[in-house]
Amino acid sequence: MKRVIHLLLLLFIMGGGIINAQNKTITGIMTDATDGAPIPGATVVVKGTTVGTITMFDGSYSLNVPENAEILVFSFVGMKSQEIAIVNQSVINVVMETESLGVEEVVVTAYGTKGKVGLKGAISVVEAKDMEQVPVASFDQMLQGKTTGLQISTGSGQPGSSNTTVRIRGNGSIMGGNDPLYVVDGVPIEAGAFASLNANDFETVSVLKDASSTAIYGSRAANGVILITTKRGKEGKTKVNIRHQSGVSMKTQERFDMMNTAEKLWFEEIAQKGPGWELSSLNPNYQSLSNEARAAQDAELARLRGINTNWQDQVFRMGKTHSTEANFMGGSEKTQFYVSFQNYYQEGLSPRSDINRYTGRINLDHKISDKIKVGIITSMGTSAANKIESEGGVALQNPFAAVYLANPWEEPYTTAGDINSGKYLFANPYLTDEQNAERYYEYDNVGSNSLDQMANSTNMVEEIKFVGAANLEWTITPDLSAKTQYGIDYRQTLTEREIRPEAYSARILGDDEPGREGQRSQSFGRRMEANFTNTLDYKKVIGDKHLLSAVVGTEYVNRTTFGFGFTGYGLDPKLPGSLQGMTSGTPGTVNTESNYFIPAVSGGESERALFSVFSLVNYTFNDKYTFSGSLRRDGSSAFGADNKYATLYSLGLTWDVTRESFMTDLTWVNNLKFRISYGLTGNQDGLDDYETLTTWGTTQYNNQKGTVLGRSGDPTLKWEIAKKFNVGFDYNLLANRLSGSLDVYNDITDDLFVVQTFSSWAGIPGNAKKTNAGKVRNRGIELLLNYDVIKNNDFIWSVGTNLSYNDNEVLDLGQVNEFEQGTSIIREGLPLGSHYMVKWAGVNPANGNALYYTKGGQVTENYSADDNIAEFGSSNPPFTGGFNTRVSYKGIELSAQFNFAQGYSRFNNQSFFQENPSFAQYNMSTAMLDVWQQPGDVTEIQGVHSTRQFSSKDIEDASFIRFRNLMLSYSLPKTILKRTGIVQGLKVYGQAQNLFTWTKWTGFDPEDSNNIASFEYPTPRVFSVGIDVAF
Amino acid sequence: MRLNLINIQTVFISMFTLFTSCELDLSPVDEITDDKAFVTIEDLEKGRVGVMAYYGGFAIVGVTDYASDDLRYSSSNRGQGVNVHDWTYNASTDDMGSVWDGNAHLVDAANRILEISAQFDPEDATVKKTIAECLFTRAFGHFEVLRAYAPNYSANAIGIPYMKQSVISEPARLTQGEVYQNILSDIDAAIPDLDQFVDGNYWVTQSAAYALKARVAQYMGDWDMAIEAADLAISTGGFRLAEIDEVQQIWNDEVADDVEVIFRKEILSSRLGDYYTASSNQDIYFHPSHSLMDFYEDDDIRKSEYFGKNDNGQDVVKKHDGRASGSMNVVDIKYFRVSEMVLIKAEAYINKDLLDEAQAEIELLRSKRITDPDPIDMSIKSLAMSVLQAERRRELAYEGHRFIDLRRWNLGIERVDEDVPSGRQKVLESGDYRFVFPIPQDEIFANGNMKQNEGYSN
Repeated sequence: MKRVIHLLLLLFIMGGGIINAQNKTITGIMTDATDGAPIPGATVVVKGTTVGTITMFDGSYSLNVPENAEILVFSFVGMKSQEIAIVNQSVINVVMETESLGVEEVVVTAYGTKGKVGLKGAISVVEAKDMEQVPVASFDQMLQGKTTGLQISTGSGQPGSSNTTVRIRGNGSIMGGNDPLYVVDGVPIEAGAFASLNANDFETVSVLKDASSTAIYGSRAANGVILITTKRGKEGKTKVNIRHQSGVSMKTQERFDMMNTAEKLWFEEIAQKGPGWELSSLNPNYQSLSNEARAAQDAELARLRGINTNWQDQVFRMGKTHSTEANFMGGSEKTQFYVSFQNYYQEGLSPRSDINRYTGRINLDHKISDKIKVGIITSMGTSAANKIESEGGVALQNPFAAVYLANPWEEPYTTAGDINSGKYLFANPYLTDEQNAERYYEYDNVGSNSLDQMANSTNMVEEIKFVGAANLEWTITPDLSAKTQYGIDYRQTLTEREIRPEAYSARILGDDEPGREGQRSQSFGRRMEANFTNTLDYKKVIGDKHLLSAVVGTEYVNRTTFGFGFTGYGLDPKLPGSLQGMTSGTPGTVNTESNYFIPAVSGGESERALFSVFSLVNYTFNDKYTFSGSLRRDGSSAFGADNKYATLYSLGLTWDVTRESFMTDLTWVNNLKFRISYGLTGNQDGLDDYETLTTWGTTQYNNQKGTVLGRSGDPTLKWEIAKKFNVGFDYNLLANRLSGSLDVYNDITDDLFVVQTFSSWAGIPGNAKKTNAGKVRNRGIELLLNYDVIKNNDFIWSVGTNLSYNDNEVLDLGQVNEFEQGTSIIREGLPLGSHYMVKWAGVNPANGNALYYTKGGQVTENYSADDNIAEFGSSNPPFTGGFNTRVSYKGIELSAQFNFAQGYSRFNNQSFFQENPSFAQYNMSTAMLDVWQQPGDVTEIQGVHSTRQFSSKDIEDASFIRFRNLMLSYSLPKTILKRTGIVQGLKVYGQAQNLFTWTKWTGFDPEDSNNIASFEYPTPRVFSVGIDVAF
Repeated sequence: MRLNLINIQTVFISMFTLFTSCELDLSPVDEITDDKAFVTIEDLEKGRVGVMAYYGGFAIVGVTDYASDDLRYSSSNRGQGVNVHDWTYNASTDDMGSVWDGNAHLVDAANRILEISAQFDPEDATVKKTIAECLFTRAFGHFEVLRAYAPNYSANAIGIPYMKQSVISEPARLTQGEVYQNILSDIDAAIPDLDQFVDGNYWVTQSAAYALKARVAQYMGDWDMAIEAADLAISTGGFRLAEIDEVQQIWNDEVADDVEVIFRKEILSSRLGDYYTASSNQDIYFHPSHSLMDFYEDDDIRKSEYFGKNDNGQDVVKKHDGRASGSMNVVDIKYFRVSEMVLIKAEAYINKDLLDEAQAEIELLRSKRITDPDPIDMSIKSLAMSVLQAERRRELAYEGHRFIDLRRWNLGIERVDEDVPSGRQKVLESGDYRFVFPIPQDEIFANGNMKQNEGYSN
């Protein structure tokens, strides 16, 4: 029928068959990209004319075109039209791709032949174009704000950092891990290790959320699955893409200020701590000084006043980013390839913080015969990252702590130009040593010591990552095919850490400390996960109305981890970075002392295996109703002997409402699908490899070897279970201009690991074991909406949003009703991540004491942790999402992307240090200028005499909206490019990342991977420009 | 085609079944699994050595010292042991729980090896020795807990659980009579198969078992048993008291094997002396109390061996400050010494109204500690008892006895003023409930049958 219409159409266009003019004949074959089948009845027209034809039964055509014809237009219903320049060609073969209007279902395949037996359910797909050339090294960060049900928060601006949490539909596990399963081209890969992967190679990223889509992954699927496919070659002329991007990283503005010298010295007087007080004329000691001594002391104070170091200038820098990539894609009818190579270099906001990465990929597909295909995917990446000291730690060596805690009156460099490491101590020449010791105390040069440590130490990680697979597909009959694939995810890291003997931190160590002359640690780690899958898949139309497809298979996964390392001491100052620089250790004897340089060595290995049998069946009746079901049985070496096999399943129904007769009049509804699913999935992340076994370790006593109990295993331990229920719609309305989906879900995770404690008399190490007893519920609603506001040939304006709301609640904790976890509480009836703290009640204006609420709501001056309450919300945002908009006019495109997290709070541990007179030896936040000083002062800052405690004052609303990306690009028109003869496409662009953040949070970044702000490495703002050239 | 399909089916069916079971039974490389840990007698021997690794004993020394009148709070203390020193502890105070937890684990380690021993030839010498040592260890561990967590001895008073097997359970507290009975029967069962003497006293011996029995008898007030066991403890191993010039060697771990130390644990890295002075930065947490330092005669060798001064001239506890060379505060912990046996005998004689015999024992000890000892008056029982109490305090200071002895004797604590800096507590009346440690909150929580000691709330 289609063909008839086409023919008629063609005849119409051509005005009744004025098939004209000889000059030149062009022939070719038109095929379908999905299966390579010929497309008969498609149209071929010379652009701007009525000269055209239609393809024959075998997809071939032959067309006489005028000499001046430039471009042929190929089109077919449901396929993307193509315009191809003739340029001296006489044979033009065309591969037609399905037109993606949102109506066409993207078939996401878990196992088996690609595209054949698809997953159904709540799946959102992020396309390659949304992830390409984003100037971050780790791909998980690129997914921020991209789609529904996926919440991503980054805790570090270190290039290539793995400190990012990725959550699909909330936290379902209490202590078992909440990372989704990542699968690249059928190969499961390690979560949180993406620094050596090039996301430009990714074709699509599918986020699987409900039982129907995830249950096929069994006991690894409870936290959702992220399926990645990489780019494959296509038959035809080889396409070459060269890309380059350069940019700079800059610090964003924190929302607090630190004191300058005048303010700090004033505060030290108030706090009666620090040189500002010791040297003050208000200090009672001042009266007893001689005139000379007073003058000397005044002079020192004046000297300090004259210093006003801006530590930000000393610590932060503008980092550079460069990325250069070449990729090649093409192939013949039998063999197709995709090859890419990339170098990515990015500097962080601090010196000694960068990543330099090289990645290469070869994807090959080859047809041995009509029935047998082989494929290979390989990705190899190597990266070297330099890291700062004590990243994310409340530690003075952490430059992002020192930058705020260093006193403005501290000078970073001595007059000789050396780093001013050490301590500040004033000695009054007119006083005796004893008198000086009574009056003046020493203070660490916090800023300089941090600079010293950064200059005299290294912290480097070199990583090699390989992800690869080889597969063979056999089309046994048109309906039945078999596939076998062996894949490997391999990562090795070499960590190098050296503290030079010149480092201040080494020089201050005592004679029996091994690190007193520097130390060097190196460690090697290797993780390899091999997987072997064998599948049979079957798809058949039975009669007119029945479509049956099914895949059955087995999967074997084996993971080994191995590592070793050492720390050596006594480094030779002349051999920096060398293993030869270490001094060998000598043990002590009765008469001689040890040199304490005995190296420490460590190492270990572990293994786990998973064997599974699974099946997935889809049955569609009359194109309207699709029933899908999956069943999987997982046996894991990590499961307890009493619970060796998990059986997990799902059931789902999809109803294509648009195909019902009652919908035919509703022409504005192009597509409406209703989905419902329920099923069980598991989570085995919480089980350590050998946790269910009782094992023994070795010890030594009195020169004899001994055996001691290492672990008391529990053979009943098993996977955590997730019961997932989902109802949703996919829709395309108003001529496909409005599209998206709406999902409602209710996920109950059960048998969650919680700690069960035992009597000491049971002799269990730690008196505790994990047990499967907890229960958590996540329920929520997700809306995805894209709207093409204006869509015509030259001008497109589209807007989109994704909104996710997740309600999390702990339902059961087994033996207990609650337990504390640092500054949080896990309590039945509350969401995970609930803060647990004494409630702040302000400052008593009469005496400057801090006021708190008791549990009963009474105001008190007595701080007691017994008054902790859980009324300050959770550190997990319930409401997250993103907005985007894109405007394009001819070749110019402007796009902007925002993301947000709403309704959550975090504990600002930094203010405990920056707003605490007990730490007045360090710099203070300007908030402390409002400190209570005399009766009647109304302020939120307690007097210096009143001990600063953790309270709800430090819990802040961390909701934010972030202008994540702004991009402006220009693609040169094809007509210009054509003149060059070689260049097929040229695009230049400029983009800005992390442009602005709207928040009430007063730390540096409201977004973090955990609940506490502790001087983390801030996420930078990145500006970059780039060029893509296609040949 | 037909053939192909059959082939395919065969291939896939075999793949389906290829890995099914065996591949999932993985064994760790870095740990020894239960089934492989104890196969040979040599393995059992290693298990016996492993039990020794569980011996602790630091906490009962440190914690009871904090609570006693032998220490004085230091201004460089940053909170270490302050709750204990001020007697403000409760069931959740960490310091109060470690004696309980450590010794319960020691007992369980012994029980596990006892159960494993049963798989071996009962006539084998190693098996017999292993069983004997584990029985001793079981008695020792229970008694350490009993000393700290049960009130003064009375057969019907509340005791502690007594574990005779390794099992996950919620054991209840037995009466003290039952606990003591179990302890004594374990000791008696152990003695025949224990070594008589071992070099270095680093292992369980018959002497150690008699010494434990003497101490148990002393707590029970079974004075005949105490005398007999104390004598056997000394004679079985051929031990003698250290001479004055050997006292320093005791605390430097240099004394000859048959001198003074009956049973100790070899310590290579942990630091008993850290209870008093931090080895990391030399911060003093507690000084020796003036009342104790002033309690010695000037020519008493113990005064210079137990106390010292740091670089700044501040008083420090020196008894456990380390060996002559090696790291600060790393020194063996001594569980039983000959002088304790002598003092047990003296206390027994007093209680049996054999005051002359008691005086002879105490004078013997004093002659080995003081160059020119002052005369002592033990002519009447009450005087004799206070002489005994004073000598016990002097000799056994910082070895985990003082606080419990005061309770045994129904005495209270009254610190002298100069030992009580402002903010610290001075008096703990005799009979106060806080003389008995609280059962740790974690135990109460995990063990539904556990009863808290009187005076403590949960």
